[in-house]
Amino acid sequence: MADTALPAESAVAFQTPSIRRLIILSYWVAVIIGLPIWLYTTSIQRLSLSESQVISLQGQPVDIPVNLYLDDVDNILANSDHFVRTLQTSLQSCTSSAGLALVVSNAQSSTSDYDYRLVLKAGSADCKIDGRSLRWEVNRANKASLATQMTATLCELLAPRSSAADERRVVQYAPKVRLSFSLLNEEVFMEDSFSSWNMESLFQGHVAPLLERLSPLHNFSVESQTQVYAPLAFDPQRVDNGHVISRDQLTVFVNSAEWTLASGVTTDPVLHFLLFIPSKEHRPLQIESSIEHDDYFKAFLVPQWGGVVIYNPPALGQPLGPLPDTVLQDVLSIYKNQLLALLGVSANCRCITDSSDISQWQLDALMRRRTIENVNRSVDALNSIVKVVNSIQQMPVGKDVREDVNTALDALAKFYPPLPLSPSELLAYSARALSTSSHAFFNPGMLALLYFPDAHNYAVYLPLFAPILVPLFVTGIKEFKVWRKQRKQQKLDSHKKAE
Amino acid sequence: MILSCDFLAAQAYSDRFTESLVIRPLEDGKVASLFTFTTLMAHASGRDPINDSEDKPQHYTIFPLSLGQILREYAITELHLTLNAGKWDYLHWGTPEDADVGSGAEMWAWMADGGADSIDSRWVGVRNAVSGLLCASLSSLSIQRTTSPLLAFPPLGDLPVIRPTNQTDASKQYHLRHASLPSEHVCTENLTPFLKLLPCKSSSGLASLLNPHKLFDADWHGMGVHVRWLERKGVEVKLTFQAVVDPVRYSPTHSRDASLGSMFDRAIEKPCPVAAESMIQVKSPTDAVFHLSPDAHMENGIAVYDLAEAEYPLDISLRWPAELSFNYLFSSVHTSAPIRVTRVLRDASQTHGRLTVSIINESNHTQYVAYLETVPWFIQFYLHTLRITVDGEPRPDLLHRLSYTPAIPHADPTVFEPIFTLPPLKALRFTMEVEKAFLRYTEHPPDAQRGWDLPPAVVLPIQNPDLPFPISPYKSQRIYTSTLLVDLPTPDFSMPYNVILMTSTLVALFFANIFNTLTRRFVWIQTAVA
Repeated sequence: MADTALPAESAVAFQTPSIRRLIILSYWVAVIIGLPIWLYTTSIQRLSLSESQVISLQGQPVDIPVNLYLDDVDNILANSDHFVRTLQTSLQSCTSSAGLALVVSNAQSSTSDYDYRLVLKAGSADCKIDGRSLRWEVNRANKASLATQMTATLCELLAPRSSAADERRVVQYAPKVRLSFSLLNEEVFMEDSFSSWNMESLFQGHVAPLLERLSPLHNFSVESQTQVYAPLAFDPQRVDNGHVISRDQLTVFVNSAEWTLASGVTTDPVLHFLLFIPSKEHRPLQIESSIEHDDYFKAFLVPQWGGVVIYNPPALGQPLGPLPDTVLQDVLSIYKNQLLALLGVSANCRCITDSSDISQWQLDALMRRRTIENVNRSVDALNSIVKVVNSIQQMPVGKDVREDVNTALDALAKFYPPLPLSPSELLAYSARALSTSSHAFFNPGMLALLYFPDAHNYAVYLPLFAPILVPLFVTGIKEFKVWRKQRKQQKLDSHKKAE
Repeated sequence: MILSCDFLAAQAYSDRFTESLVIRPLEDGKVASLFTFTTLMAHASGRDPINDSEDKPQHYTIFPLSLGQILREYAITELHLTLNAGKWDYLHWGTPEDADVGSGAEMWAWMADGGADSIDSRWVGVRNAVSGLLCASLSSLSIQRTTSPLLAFPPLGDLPVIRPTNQTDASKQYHLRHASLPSEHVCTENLTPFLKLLPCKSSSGLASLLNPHKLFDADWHGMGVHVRWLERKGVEVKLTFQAVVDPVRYSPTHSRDASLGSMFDRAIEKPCPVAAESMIQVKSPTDAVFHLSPDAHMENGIAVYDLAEAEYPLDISLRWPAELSFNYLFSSVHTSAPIRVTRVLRDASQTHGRLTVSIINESNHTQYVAYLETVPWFIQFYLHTLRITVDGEPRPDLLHRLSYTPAIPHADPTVFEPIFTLPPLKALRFTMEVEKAFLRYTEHPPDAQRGWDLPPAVVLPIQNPDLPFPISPYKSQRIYTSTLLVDLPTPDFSMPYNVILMTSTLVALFFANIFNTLTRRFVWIQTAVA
């Protein structure tokens, strides 16, 4: 017969079981090596952020060091060390809640420019602020209660308390603030209407010095405009003589649709100061809560947005022209107060100050408050980034995000523990921490692949994977079964032989 | 120095707002009207990008603050933006009152060189800011549309010399950026912010006639914002609105009688109190007996109404009492345009085409014109195929000079700027082969099958073609051609998935074959013995 001449199937070179197994194994090796390469090349770049450092900052209070030196010029105090200790303990409660680490000590020769001096002098119970020093005149008769007298004033100066209403009114900190002044005529008439104002020159004399004083805090840019047709979006309520804006109407007073106030070129916060001149039908226009007929000006504040002054001009029959300078001066002084309230400058204390509007103590207190606010906001932003990145596994974290986070952490390192720097330097570091951390948080690159989930990837590649993996598995399992069977057979055979 | 400061202080409030309306009945029975609102900010000048800080206080009275902010932020000396809908018919309507009538959006700016920000980054900024200001989608005026033509867009005002240099020509310190977007539509959302730039908005004066319902029903309408600097005067912003309405279409008796009421659905109720000058001019046609009411003051055949002295409500009406109904008999004799241009792109296939332009000189003397063609990179010119003919005769000598900037694929557009000599009463015709590129998958717009609009070409008549090249003292009126629609090869957009599926299937088949052959167990089979 012919079949006797045929060799066994397994004897053909490529059909030997070992070669077949090698072939199958090499396929599997290729798959196993390829899988991590494929996963690596298709994965999203997620650089590690300094997570532990960020988390450790959360909830850590900032204590800005403040040094107060007592200078007893006229040797009023018998035991100045004791007085210093008393003052230190009595000031503790108000300063520590404001995030200050106050150290009161006796006068030293080497003090830095930004330390405070408390000069005691004999005199008629009066106090005077001069730069960062406070001259306290003491009446020798009642020096017993001196520490308690001073505590209230010093608390007010070092850590002015702000109410919740104040907090809501004050704008969020930004290094650059735009001030926009607008003269709005509800409707323009040929007389008793104002087509312009002398803002350019009066501003220089009245508001510019104040802005110069505030320049360590904010970099201001100023613009002004006039509009001759700025209608109200509502009808004021008619009363006996004139019209009244109710409390509810105050919230919709600013007609953003018709009054072109928005700026298209900047994302810096803008504080608007409006001078609204009602139309003749609406004059005099009053505000419900403060109806006083002899007053030409009505003013109110829009929290975190700006200030509004309503001016009811007397009917003098003057032709259309610029606003009288005396009126504008009054308006500007209202704006100054509104600006201070919006920026969070605390009220003046009872002490006599040097000539400028804001004392150095007020300015420092505000800078420290802003610094602490910025540090807290920055720490919050960093924590949010870490949380978001951890909770969304497909969010890419690029180099720029990591750089921003590291820059913010470097700036924040100045506050843990706080370095003995001047208030304006500390503010600058906190502003940098805030801007870089929010820049990192709003990085557009972090949204890139969020909407391209893995499920889609697998769905697209399924037509390739399914036809390849199925035969690989099936032959693999089959071959494994054959191999086991063979082993069993071999064992059995060897047993038999042994027997 | 002190003297000049005092002078400035005294002049600080001499800002001036003037408005005018020019009404011109056209030969085909339509009526063209041009509103011009001019605000001059006296003794102001654009920001010097090197020496001036952006933080300097800015005080505006009637000049629009929102526009002033943009000019200041990006240190723009001269800015022009036009948004037009429809095609201006030079043949029947003659020369427009305001020359910039190219379809779609067109924007150009002159900027001084220097400072921290580059010209191009400022151009991007001003483009985005202006598109935000006027609610126009100019942000798609990307680098692919931006050019710097040499001749066609000279500065309209003066350019301040920002640095004393030994170069006498101030224009060397300035750069032009120009872009146009022919597919931009103009509608109410652009007019509303446009009106807010006016001191009286639309409450009084001429602007109260700008009624969107009527204007956007017009046969042609367009708006423009033009900012320039004039030496010894200041910064001037000119807002224009131009419309061509068809009273014959509105009239039940097909008469061409028109009035402010019939054209704009409004009369002027009161003047704008801050306007220093407010005029309406009616240019009377010459062909027929024509009656105007109320009576007007006549100046060189133009009826002039001064709004300061008019009676209100003011409704001007134009009547042709002898005419019962209007019939338009076209005669090209009347055409007032000295040069006419037609431009065609013939698509031989999806990948190749031929551009044909004919420039017709209607006057009986030789004229010189600068032609400007800016096309995005996906249309590539074969410059060696340029053929110039007059009456079928090749006339390469008529090409006076040529400036050509080739396109950079996926980036810069082509700029083709020849100067031609036009023989009298002849049509110059030139043709050029073009190639249409195959775009990347992501470069196609959402409505890819619609095709791409090519910006209008510009023809500028010039007096002396021999002046050295990078200067542009030509202040004559530009002539725009119509836009072109080009059909580019568009793929099937489900293609990437099809390709992935197809490739996967092929790979799987190949794999299965090889794998099967390698791992199959072959056995002997007994076949029938012969």
